[in-house]
Amino acid sequence: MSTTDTRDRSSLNPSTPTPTTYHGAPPSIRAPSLSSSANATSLRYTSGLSSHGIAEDPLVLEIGTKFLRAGLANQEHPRCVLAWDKRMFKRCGDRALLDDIVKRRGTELWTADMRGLDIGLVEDLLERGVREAYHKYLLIDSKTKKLIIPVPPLFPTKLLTSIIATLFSHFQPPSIALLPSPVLATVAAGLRCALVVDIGWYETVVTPVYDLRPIEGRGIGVYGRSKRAVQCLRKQWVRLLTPHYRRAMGVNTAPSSSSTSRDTLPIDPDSDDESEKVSKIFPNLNDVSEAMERLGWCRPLSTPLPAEHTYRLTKIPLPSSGTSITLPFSDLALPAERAFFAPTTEDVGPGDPVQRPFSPLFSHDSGGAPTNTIPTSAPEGYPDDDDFPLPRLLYNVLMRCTVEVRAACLKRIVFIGGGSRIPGLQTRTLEELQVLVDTLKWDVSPEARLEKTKTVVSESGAIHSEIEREGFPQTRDEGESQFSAHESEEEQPYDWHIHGISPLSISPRSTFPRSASLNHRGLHSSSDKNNGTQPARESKKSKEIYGEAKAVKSLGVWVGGSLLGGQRIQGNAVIEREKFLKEVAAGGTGIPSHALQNDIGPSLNQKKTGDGAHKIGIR
Amino acid sequence: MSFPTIHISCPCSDTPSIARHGSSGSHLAKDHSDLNADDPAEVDDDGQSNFNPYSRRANFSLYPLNRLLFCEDCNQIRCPRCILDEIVSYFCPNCLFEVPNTTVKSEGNRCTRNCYSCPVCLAVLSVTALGDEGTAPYILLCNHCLWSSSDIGIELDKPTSITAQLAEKLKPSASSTGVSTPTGGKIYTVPDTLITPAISGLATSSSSYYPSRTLPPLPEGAELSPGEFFTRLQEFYKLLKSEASDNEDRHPNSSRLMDMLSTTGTSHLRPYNQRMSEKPKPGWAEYGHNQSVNPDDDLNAITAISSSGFSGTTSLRQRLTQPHCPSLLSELVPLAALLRTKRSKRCRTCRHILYKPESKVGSIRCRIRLVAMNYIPTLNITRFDPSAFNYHNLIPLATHQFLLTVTNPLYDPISVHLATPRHTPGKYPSNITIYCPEFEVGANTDVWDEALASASGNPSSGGHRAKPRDKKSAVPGQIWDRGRNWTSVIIEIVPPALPEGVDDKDKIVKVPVFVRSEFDTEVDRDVGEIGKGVKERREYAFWSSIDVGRIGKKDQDGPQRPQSLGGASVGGLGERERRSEGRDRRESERMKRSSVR
Repeated sequence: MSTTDTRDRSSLNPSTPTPTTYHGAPPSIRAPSLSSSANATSLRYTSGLSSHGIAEDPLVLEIGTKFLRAGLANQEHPRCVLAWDKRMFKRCGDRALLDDIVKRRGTELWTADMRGLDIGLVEDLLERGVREAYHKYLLIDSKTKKLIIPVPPLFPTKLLTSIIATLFSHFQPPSIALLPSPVLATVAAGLRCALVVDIGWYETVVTPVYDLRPIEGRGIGVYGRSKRAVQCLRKQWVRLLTPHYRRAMGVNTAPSSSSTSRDTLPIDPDSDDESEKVSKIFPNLNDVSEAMERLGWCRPLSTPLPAEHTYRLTKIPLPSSGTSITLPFSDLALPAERAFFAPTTEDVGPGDPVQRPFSPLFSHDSGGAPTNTIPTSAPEGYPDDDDFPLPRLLYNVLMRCTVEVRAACLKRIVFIGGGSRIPGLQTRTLEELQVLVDTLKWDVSPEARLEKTKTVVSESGAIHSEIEREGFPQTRDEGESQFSAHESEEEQPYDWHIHGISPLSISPRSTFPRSASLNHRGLHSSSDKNNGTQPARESKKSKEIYGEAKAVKSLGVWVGGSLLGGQRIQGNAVIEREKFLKEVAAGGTGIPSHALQNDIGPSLNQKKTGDGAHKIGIR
Repeated sequence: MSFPTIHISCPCSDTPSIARHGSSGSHLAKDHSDLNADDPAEVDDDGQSNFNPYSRRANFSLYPLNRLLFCEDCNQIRCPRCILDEIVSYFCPNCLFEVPNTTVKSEGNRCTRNCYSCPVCLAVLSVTALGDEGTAPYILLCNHCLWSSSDIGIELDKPTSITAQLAEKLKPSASSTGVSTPTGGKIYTVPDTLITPAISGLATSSSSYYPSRTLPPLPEGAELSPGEFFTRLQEFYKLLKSEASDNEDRHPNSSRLMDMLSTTGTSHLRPYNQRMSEKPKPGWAEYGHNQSVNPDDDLNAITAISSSGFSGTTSLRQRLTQPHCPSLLSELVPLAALLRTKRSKRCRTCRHILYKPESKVGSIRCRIRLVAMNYIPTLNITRFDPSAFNYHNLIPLATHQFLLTVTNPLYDPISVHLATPRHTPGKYPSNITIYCPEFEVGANTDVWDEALASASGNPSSGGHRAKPRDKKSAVPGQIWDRGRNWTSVIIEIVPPALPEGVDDKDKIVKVPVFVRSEFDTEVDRDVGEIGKGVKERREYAFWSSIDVGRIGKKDQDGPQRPQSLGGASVGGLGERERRSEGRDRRESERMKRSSVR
């Protein structure tokens, strides 16, 4: 037995050149889940070969909203990456699928809104996809292999139960192990601590991982999420292409002919608020996705792009309508700009923030948010809780971490998910985060932060408005000068911060009596003192004191599962078939309770009460 | 989409997991609580919901008859979803070589011989000689899109053992400069370079416990290819694990001590520390050669995309088929052909084998083959009036008559009950009437019987074949026609007039028909002489969905009306001909008709 195993493993080693193991970049498109309830698992190391005997390598199935990855553990790449596309919805034997079946729902495996989700349809789809993976790519009997499933943080239990039920009843694997996907991403980067930024389809989820345990307490699980994700990006692409598309189709557009100005086009192609015919003409979403995947990029702040690239005209074919659009290459960075870095994705004109119903009092702290709420928002449009730009989201999460976790994570930011493939996005996020860190520091005292916030937000806001306004790129030098020019400028939209009611007038501390917060205050008051006394040195040494944001490449969640599965490390949530089905039949979730509670357990109640005292490792 | 098509709903379409067992008799696809209210469930008088072919989930439970198997023990249809597959043999679809099981396990799911497919269009690549008289160098050439391996700078020396040659050529250049990758993966002594400075540093000074503070700067030129990075990570974790287990075995106390000394005293809080991470430093170590994100890489990627343009980048589909997800066409590599399998199929419930092919690749014979076609009655639908008729343009509010023919594959005569809701369950319901819902279908006897019977003028089998093509004889309550093992009845459909801007889905008339067939058959032969001659009543029942056609437009399609009323042309072809004939005549026709009205 042992000899066969050795042989298997040796031959599966990717250093042996087989057709499946070409070297290259890791596949990292994956989509996260939406979450509404708590479910997480944690790692537990089995004590090695001695305890388990020698089993075959398990199978790693990464089930995402857009893609399914399946492959054997100990391999470098998944054997297949299947997209949940129209093909999956087809009726057996039909050649084509009628478009409108998926038009309203989209082809994603599940929808963002769990309330309207047809679980049965998810099960059908999943069954079809996994069956294809088994039959066409894995070529193994499903009954023989154990499964490892990475589970994103706060994955809906209902969905997880139905996924596991589908797998058990249709494919009958001996057991299914659940592993938290941020941890797997960390493992695949060779780290033990990381700030895992999963830019998925519906949402971006930021999860700190400390000593291989995801931290979801302290409000991170809830507030570490933003809708600035790939779906949002695609909306921005639609917005970018629509005026050109209409022109190409010979439809007269509104006077808003300048491509990049804030036009009032409805972003959502399905929304039909206007009865005019023109407003219903949108480019095909598949074409847009294709263009987005192929040509999308993101402008880094510090490193300039050579001008010949910036101004190069790029042709975007839209095959389903037989037309094509030609845009300067620089314009193709705009959607990413708007989707990930703009102060808000809401379609509000920059001039009239007043008209939006806005109550600064309750905008952020209404949920009993813990100490480190960052009440500062963008200058325009006051983003919602789930609408923070990417760098700000990262900063918010780091702010909610304890000092040790923050120190460890800031240097180890790991980007995963489909959005992380956009070239330039990671660099840009880091750069902006660094600006935030340098300016805001890790200061929890509201007054101090308020002051600093103004400058920072105006800075980043200025960058955006600049890029937004220009549309056409400015050269590096111009950008720099504008950047610095805006630094000192006072921005009107912040008035509410100063002489409105400050959102911090409700001190979060008072509503949130926790030892951790006190602890935090103590720590930071000392650092405040330092800052105050040596302002000159501070700017010079800010990176040393407050840390430098760095990103580490990860091979992706699937590879993490492959690495751990190859070492026979299982999660502590191993689900056996009989037991699971019995529990489900009895009306339970079938997911072991320790998977929810042990070690990290950010259960729903804790989230609500703001009790972040899950074991973060170090207090 | 072709019309008419008939699909059969497999009874397994219930939610698989949740204790919904027991409904074995009539198989109704249940509408699950769907808040979108897209699929309003039509509920019968007895509270059972009808099958709704318009439901989204119906696409997953409907199969053409030829895809279905039949389990004799469960007495039920089995679709691809409710069978378990077992692999009998592996083979390459290109070179048709059978691949042994062990090779598949070790080498993966692709052909290791010379079969490659084009990375651009997925067609088969052929080895083509570039030199005169068919000599080296050789390239892999796609005959479909003319992609060749020379596009990515690969030329081969030999026309054989392409896999080995490609692997050699595709090996990233970075790996050759780094530490020589150990072959075979049997690494039990990890090279020093793998143990990071982080670990060694930690081992010497416990003060620098926390790895982030001692994370060394990356050595120059440490950029690893992802493949190599993966290999090293793998070895790294292997090392960690072996050390962990060693330490745990030998010095459980000392490791605990070390942990207490070196950490900030939190280890007791962590349950899992008792296991792995309680050993000293290595458990805390991070892999030193982390690949940090480099802004220059991003810039290079952007400029590469900019200079290659849309046409130089890979499509989403191409990306997914490649393991390394390249973004540029120039980074694509040829793909070895995926192996295929021959599989035997078992019933998921009773584990009986339903289908078992012969394991030899070349053979198409089966040892066991229980296909549904041999058990359940076959439905067939045709236009009652066989003359010109466009299934893609059913005239709304007109009565369309179809012939529904039920064929019996069994050797016993069956009695068939057809049931259908009065209206189709779609958003825009059509009226359905089956003239004769209950009838007999003769046994599938020898073909000669029919011939002999009809020759002798036996009225019992061919008696109803009178007055064909006479619409007047289509009397409700009576079958239309009958043959040896088939009977046809008339089904009448009145499609509704659709408003403007209806979804394509709703334009199609899908008729759900519940088919129940009953027959007496001899009891199992195994029972012996006692059971001889004893008959047993059996019943098969299933829902099927008939796609009759697409509803056309009422007003604008006036010109097509005469065509369906008796033109000589057939189907869409005739329509096109007619269109090419010129518009003037049609216009005048329309004018005439409207004036008549």
